[in-house]
Amino acid sequence: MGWTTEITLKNKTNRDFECKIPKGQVFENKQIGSGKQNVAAAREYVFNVPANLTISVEIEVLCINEHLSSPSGSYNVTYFKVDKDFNNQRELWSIMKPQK
Amino acid sequence: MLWIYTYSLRHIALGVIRKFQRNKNKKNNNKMNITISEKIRFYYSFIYLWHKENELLTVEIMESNNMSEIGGYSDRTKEYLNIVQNLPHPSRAELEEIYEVALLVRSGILERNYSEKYLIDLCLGEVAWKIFELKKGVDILPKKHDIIKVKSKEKNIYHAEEYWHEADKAYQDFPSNNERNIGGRIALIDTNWEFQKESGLNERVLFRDLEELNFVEVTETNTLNRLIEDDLISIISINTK
Repeated sequence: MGWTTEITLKNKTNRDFECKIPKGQVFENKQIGSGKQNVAAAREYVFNVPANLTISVEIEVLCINEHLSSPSGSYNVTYFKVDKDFNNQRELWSIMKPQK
Repeated sequence: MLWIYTYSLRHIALGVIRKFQRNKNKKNNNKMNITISEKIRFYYSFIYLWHKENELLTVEIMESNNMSEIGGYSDRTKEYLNIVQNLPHPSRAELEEIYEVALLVRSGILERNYSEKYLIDLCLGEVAWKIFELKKGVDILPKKHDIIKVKSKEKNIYHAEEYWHEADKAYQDFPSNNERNIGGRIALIDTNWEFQKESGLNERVLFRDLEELNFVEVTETNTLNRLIEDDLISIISINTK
């Protein structure tokens, strides 16, 4: 099952710049104890953000919490990403387990 | 046609107020917090609605003192009309736009209606003041260096329900700001919960740090979190489906 995250952002400056979302960038649901999955970017995204404009980008994401319910609703970007590479949902869930 | 337009605007803006009140009741029942931006939009709705409904009356009063020009509005009236006709709708306004309007109510072109009231027992000037007070909460943007404050620790927990309460405290220093759409505390709390289940739910729960949860800090330049921190972009929304 594929999931998408739509990010709407505004460039507050008078110049264009590039914005990068690294592979594995984590987005968290906003509500504690909601039981909804948090998600990670399925690949790296780089896009241009034109000066003073509001744009929306849609990115493919994978779930990081195997036992929680499907992701939906409002999310935050976080300060961290998944620390290992992955190619699909199964591999990501496998990474997100305690190291033996 | 004008009354249909005015009625539609009022109907939609009142929807923002009703939605806020419904959420407030619902969230009170669930012991959840209403976000600061919801509160700001709620208060801004009163300023918006008052001026949309009283625009013509205000212009009439302003023009009653306009003795110098014939056949056209004074510059002051034109300025007022321009502001009111371009007021952003409460459901779509960015917070920065709302603050600018609140400033005009306190000490600008909209100050002339400072003492008017609309639906609630606060005058428009007091409503603007509420918005400024709420803004202080939004302006606290966490700094990335605070991320090092997350340290793993253990805690005795006797019921699974206690986990969420204790986890909230354990990760409370992790930088998070829902108004700016940036954070990480909840992802840590949820992921730690899954780790705990994998290693067995017993009385002693470990609250793990970033590394132990298989996360690493994003340090590249021009990433979303860096651009927010540097105040180059604002996130309007992030929705997953």
